[in-house]
Amino acid sequence: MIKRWLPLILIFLCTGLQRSAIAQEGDRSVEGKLEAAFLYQFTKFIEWPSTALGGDFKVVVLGDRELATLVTATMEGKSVGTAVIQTTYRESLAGLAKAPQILVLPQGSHPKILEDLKKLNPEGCLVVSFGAGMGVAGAHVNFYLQDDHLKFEINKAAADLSHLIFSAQILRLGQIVETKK
Amino acid sequence: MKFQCIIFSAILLVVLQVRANEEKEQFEQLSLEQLLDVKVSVASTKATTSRLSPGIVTVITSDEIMRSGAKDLIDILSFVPGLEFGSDVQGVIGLASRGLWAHEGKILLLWDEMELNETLYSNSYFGNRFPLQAIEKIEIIRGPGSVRYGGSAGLGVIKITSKKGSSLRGVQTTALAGQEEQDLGVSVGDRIGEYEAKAIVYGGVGQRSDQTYTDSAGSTFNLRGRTDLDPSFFNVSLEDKKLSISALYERYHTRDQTALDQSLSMPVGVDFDTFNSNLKYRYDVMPGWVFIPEFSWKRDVPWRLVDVAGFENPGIVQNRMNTRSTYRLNNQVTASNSLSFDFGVEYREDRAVDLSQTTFTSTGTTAMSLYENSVYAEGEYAMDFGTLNAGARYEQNSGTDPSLVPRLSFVRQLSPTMVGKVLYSESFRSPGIENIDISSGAIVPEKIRASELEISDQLAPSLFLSMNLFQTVIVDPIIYASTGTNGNQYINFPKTGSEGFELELKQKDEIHFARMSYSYYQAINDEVPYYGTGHSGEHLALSQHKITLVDSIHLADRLTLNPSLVYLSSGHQFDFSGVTGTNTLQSYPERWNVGAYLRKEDLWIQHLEGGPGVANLMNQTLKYGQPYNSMNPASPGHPAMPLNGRDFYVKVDYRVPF
Repeated sequence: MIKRWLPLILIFLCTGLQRSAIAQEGDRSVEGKLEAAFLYQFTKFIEWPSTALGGDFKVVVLGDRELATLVTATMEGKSVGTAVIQTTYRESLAGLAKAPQILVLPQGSHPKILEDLKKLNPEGCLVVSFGAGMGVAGAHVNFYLQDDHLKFEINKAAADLSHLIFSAQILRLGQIVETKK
Repeated sequence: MKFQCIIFSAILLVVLQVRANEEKEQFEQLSLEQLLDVKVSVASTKATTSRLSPGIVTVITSDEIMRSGAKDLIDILSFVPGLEFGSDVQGVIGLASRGLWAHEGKILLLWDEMELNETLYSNSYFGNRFPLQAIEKIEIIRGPGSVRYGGSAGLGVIKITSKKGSSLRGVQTTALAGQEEQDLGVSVGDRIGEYEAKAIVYGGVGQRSDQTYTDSAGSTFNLRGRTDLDPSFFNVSLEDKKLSISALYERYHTRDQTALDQSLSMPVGVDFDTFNSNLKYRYDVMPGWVFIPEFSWKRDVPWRLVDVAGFENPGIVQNRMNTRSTYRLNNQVTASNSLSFDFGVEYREDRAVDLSQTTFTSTGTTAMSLYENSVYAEGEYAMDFGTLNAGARYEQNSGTDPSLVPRLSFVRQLSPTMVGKVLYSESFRSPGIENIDISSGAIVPEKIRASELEISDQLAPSLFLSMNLFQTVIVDPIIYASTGTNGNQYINFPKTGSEGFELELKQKDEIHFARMSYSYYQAINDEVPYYGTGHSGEHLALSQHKITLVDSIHLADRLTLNPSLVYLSSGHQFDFSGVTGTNTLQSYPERWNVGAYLRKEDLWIQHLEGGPGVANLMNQTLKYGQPYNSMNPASPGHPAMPLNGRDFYVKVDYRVPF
């Protein structure tokens, strides 16, 4: 019996010796962790209008529970100015009475969702998406993958309309796009 | 054994859980500039991950391949739960899935969407054939795939995606020097403006075995120098956002002396020559609707016996050239945030010509053709309580009856970390040219019905557990069998099938990864005597229990030890018995295939990596049995094929970035 299990026992004794560092795997969770980290960094380089602040700083993630979990793990309890960050998951826009400070759209969203969003009077709401064409459709920040790296587009004109002020640093790092009608 | 496996799984779970809890998340501490520098695997570019996809899928990335020390695709696929290799004839090795022999037309092998199953019988064959260093990822769908992939994907799909030009961005050279294999591969690629281009050249020499083999008549000889596996592989592609063109030429030269059951007096060459090409254009009809016309053209000459002189059994000499033209018009529609669907039509034409002027039985001439028309649709509707996926494919085949197969799945996020899937799929096997020709035109397509249930959970940020239950029933399986008056022919048998479960644990991050699996099958609806062993629940030469482990142990900066293990439980197979002096059904012991690979990155200079490794460390007598028999007591089939013994090797990979 011992002989039968010896190779496995040796291997697993060895596995216990390992340590790990920054996650960088091929699953959605790594990409999600990156997106969550970007979102947190954005709060340091974007200025929200004073009318949008007051009370908690709300981040709503639509349609992606896995990402919502990661965003919560990264941002929950931290603060933007004096406002404490509160993260929420929602299946869809339905039932959302007021636009949050950050709204994260599901991957592969149809541009039509941006039209639906207008009903919420989204001034002071940073709209973040992940999908081809969403930046030029009006999302303020749109993530995309290029050469195995996560990049982002910024629709500055759309951000201006929402009274969001992007710092020079973030504008330098993102690709500026314009709204196409 | 079951109890041991449960204990084994529990130990691994605890070890990996502890390890995962040690993780320290650091992304949030990085600056924006640093975040932009973090590399994300291409495997994650799909909006739907393998956990959420409507199928039981294993994805193996380039990074995992490089870390594992695998020398060959056989090594990689051996780590996948439910997959097992078996011996066909003439030294060829094929795949079984979930206890069902899938070698002939039931598992589709794709390289960048180009089909690599040969056209005569739809066999997929393995052993020192593919350049692993050129692979970006391998997706293994362990379940029916006909709705999307057609009549050669009844039990699964192995989809290999090679590295694109933007991924290579330079020249990558890989050399393998081992006791039994010596291979060299060069990949070059880059992005030039909007275009991505790449070229892969790979070749080498190897052999299936260095062990002693005894044929069914008791003739014994060493296989060293008699089981050559010599690949030559060329692949080029050019693409931009709209257009993609790719071509692949492969000359897979093998030698074999074992033949069918009684060996030959000398080894003969068995060649598989293939040219494959694919042209695809992506046309944006309107926002949310993409139209993709595609044309594939393939020419192959499989199972070609080269050294005919001295070959004693000219009845199986084969030199048949096939061309396959496939036209596909595919549409991808995103109707709304919650509804998307694909639909299209496909026309396929197979033409076979016998180059040695032997006539086909069914046509009486030296040529034979098959035509297939298909229409398919698959849609996905995302609701608050889950995602519903439904599809169907209808195919007309000029050589046999039409097939209609539906597919239905429901995927639900059960908690923030847990996903549940319920799947019911039907699939079919389209008989190939030889299947129809050697059947008196009387066979109908196999129909495969599979029910699957999977639960997966993200136990920790980088620790994933998935478990699935499956039941697969094959109705009208096509078997090469004795018909008495007409000799051996392909005929339909009533039923065969299997049921069981698979468990997979994966942990992966920048420094290490571990993947462990346990799989079990039990034969059901066992109405094909050619697969039976006389032991309930067991199919011939296919082990019911399988455990795999691939691990990566971080020893020092950029230095890892990568152990691997494949365990297969005991079973029954035909092999020559020294006691009875005949090729007889006998039990084989459980097998432990343990390997290890020591890998150093930036070895002496930057971008140079590699190290020594050993396969079959315990020098066990590992054999691939034949998962079917001839039902002829005097000649029950090919005795089990031994593999290489302990094999030391060195792998080196050097990349010169542009």
